[in-house]
Amino acid sequence: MAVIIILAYIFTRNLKKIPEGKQNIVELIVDAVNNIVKGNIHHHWRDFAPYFGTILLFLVFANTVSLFSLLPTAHELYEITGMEFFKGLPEFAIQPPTKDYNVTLAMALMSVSLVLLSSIRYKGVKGWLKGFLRPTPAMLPFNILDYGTRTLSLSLRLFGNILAGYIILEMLYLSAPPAAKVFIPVGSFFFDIFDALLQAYIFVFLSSIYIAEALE
Amino acid sequence: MLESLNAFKVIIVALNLIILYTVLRKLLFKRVTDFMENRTKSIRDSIDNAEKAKAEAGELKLKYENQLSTARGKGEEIIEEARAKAEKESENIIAAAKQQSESIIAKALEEIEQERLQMLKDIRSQVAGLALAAASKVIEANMDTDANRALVDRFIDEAGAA
Repeated sequence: MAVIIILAYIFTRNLKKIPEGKQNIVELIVDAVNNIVKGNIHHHWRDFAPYFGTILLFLVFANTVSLFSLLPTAHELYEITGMEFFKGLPEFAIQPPTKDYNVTLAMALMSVSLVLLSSIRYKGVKGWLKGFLRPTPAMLPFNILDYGTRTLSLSLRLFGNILAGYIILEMLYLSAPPAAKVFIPVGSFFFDIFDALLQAYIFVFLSSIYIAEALE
Repeated sequence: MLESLNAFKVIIVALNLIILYTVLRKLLFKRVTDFMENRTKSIRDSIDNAEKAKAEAGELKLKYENQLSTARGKGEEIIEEARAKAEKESENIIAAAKQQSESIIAKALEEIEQERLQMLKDIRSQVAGLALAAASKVIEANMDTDANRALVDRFIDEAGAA
């Protein structure tokens, strides 16, 4: 988190009219987020873009952080180089925070609360309550259930994907025969980058769709 | 899985995210979005201005071209007029000069004729006088009488006619 904030500060220190260098990257990211949100939430996108941008950035960082497992650990470095220096270093591995269900649950709860609050904020209590009866009053129980199922589906989808990728990669790291170790980067690329970014995008995309639905 | 659920941790993560959201909104998204929108606006404005200026310039050009062509037409008209006037004037002057010269020539001719006549008359009378004087010297007599002069005059007339 601190890393993201520091990066955000560094990247936005002095914006120039003609983008160059790191400003291009920032504009690319912000523009991408704005476009995703704009595509789903048409009128009020300005109010929600920062939230989704935050979530997206957080998820991108959180999901891909396990890439660092590719680096040799202190113990392995000691075995390779034989230097005493590495033996003293503490053993630690960076694990994706989204592999913890508490984290994904918190995020899903926040998104669903945002759906609830924005629905009340933009349509009033009455409009929000009326929304339960659409498209037909028979849908009432399902509409109520939606709040629970959406929380579950959002959080479990993210959690399950990241945990599964993490477990598979850990198994590869620990138990692959030396010849098969060449496949680790392939697996790492798939789970740590492709799947991680995909899940981050899906989370943001679904959340914004829910909000767009709530605002209709 | 359920026993690992921890409400405290959930709240902490949520708080973390809210802090992150607050900071990022202020630092990143609002700033960059506003900045990009301002830039888009300023670019659009400058393009609009440029196009407006271009249209104005085109209008002015058209106007000036029109003015120029009318001015040119007028100038040609003026030149043509002046030329016509000058021609007419020169013709007038030439005609007047011709007339004057003709009248002068006619007058001169007339004067010459008159002078000639006068001269002839004078000569005739002198010749008559000289003849008479010569004759009277010859005949030692004064022939200068009216009868004689008339005779001599007739003689001279006959000689002149011959």
